[in-house]
Amino acid sequence: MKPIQSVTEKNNLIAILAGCSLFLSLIEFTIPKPLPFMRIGLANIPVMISLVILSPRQTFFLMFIKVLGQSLVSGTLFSYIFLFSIAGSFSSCSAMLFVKHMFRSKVSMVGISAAGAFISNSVQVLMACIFIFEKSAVVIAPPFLATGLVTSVLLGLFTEYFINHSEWLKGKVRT
Amino acid sequence: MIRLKLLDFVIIFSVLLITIILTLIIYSGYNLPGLLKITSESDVYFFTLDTDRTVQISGPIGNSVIRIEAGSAFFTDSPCHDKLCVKTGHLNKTGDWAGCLPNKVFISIVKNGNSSEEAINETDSVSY
Repeated sequence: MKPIQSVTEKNNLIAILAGCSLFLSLIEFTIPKPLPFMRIGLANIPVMISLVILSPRQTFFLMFIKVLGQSLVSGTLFSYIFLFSIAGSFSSCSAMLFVKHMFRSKVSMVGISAAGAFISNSVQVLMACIFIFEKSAVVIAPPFLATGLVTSVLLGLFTEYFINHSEWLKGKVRT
Repeated sequence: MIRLKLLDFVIIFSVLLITIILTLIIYSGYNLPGLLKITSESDVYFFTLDTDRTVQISGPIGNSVIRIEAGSAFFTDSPCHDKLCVKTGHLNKTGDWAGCLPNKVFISIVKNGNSSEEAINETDSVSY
């Protein structure tokens, strides 16, 4: 079924989701973390929602706004952390879109979320090994990937629930 | 309420499996014995710390004798007059070092970066 949505309406959706994403990343900054790189990824919930209501291009655009906004808020826009952030987000976005469009209704948000988090974390660890630190930076990979798996599954469960129950999303969901 | 699909479990378990395998691969490397790196005026030698042996290294003023024993390495004799290298004592942790400046012999324990047995044997045969 083809969605009956005007371009403006969709662009408004990007803005709303980007706003949510920024708000959620602000919330996340208040939560203490054992390591600065270990994130819960609350800001990725709107990105995952966008997978079902926006086109892939718009999802990438939303991801870009999210990274830009996050780095503006955290003050890391002109540091190497921004590169890590954008590489992680870009790769996880690609992975989630790939899983979503490859398997369509055979996969729920939980699987998409787990795949996205895994790709994002792996890419960031790889970048840490290649650019900033020595090869020994891989020691942070196991705890990084393990916590990423747990949080991504929880986020996926929440997103799946949200997509199925939100009144606001009704009629906006594609496929 | 939330219906999980089969593929979700496939993805979750494959991620879990990769994480576990990576954990095993990455953390198993830490139990490897360290390598003793001996730098003389002309050559660099590597020895594993798990085999006991005595090594003689010739320098500009004579032979320095280095003993590897029970996972640690130390100078036993040196032709220099102050014997600072012998007084340094046993080296057993990664990063420990001792040196004999007059004889231009420097020894240090480096981390064993190669996780495979062949690589260790390779450095051994090179050093013989």
